[in-house]
Amino acid sequence: MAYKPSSRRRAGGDDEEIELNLLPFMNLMTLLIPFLLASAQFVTLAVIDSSLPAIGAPQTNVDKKEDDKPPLNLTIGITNEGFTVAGSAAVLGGGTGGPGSLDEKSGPTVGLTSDDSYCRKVQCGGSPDCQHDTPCHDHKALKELIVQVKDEYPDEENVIIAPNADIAYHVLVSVMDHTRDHKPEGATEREILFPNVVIAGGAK
Amino acid sequence: MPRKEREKVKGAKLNITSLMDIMTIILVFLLKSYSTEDIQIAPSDDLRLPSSSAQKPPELAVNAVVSKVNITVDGVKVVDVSGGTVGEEYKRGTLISPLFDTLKEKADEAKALAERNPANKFKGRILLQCDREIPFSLVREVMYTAGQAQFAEFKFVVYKSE
Repeated sequence: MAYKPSSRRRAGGDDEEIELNLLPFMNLMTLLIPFLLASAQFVTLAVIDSSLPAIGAPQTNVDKKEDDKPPLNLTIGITNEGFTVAGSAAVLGGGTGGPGSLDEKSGPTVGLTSDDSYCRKVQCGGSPDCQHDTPCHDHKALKELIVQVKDEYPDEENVIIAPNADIAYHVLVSVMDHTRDHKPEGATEREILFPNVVIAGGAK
Repeated sequence: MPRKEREKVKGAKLNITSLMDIMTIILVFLLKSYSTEDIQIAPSDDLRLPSSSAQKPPELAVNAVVSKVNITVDGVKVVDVSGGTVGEEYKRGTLISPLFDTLKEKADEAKALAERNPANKFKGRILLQCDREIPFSLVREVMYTAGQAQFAEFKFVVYKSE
């Protein structure tokens, strides 16, 4: 037969709980928390660089390397029909192996996409109550094309973006995003594509 | 009164430990989001910056804000915007006159400072905070005006999305 341990000795009191005096620590906390709340940062900001080539910015295009390849002059026009991607004709013409879709033609190089969920994601991000237009610019296809161009011209880092007058600013930012760098599947580092953006006046 | 009951009344103690747990967690969270950033943004319905994958941190410069309702420079309102454009009476071609005057003043100030302190050169940097919905025509006008006022290095401020 089992006996429970004797409780007589415990009543003695040398086993009593010792309580920490937490009040000074609480005081510290109540002071620290409002202070930190006031200086908390809930959105992180970043900047995208761009410079005007013509006026007062001599530092941008001065030290161009002497290269046997003529500059690519990659230009992306943004219209309401899509993106028109073009390079300097001297380089891309005559079937030098450039992607065929880079040829000058009347329509846009990358048309609009009518993938509703994609448009929603691009235009609204996470916010639930925002209006979005469904045929929207297909940034994904543009990026694929740009990656091909970069493979062809690995040293080139300049891109000229020429949006139409009525293109919303976030489309422009998105194009700059997709032409700046990209993260290939499975890679951890971002690869640089065309980080030097010049924004052209565009067509009126 | 029996002895046992009298002892019960004597000390009513607050158990603070659980509150301490909460505080510690909040403290860690707030320390993590602590910021000492230079530029201030005041988000509102009229100014919603686009989000971007850009990683470059912002730096201190003249701060021009183009919202749906007005253009402000360093917190001072310069000109009204309606329907994605500035009133024709404020414009000289592509130039937005009131904005040009304000930016010119800023540039002159910065240059006067640079003259006295060679370490602090005038680089023509300008932070542009534009609402995501404004049309490019207005962005172009602002950029052109800034360029005329010798601000040629644009920094478009965006939300970092990752």
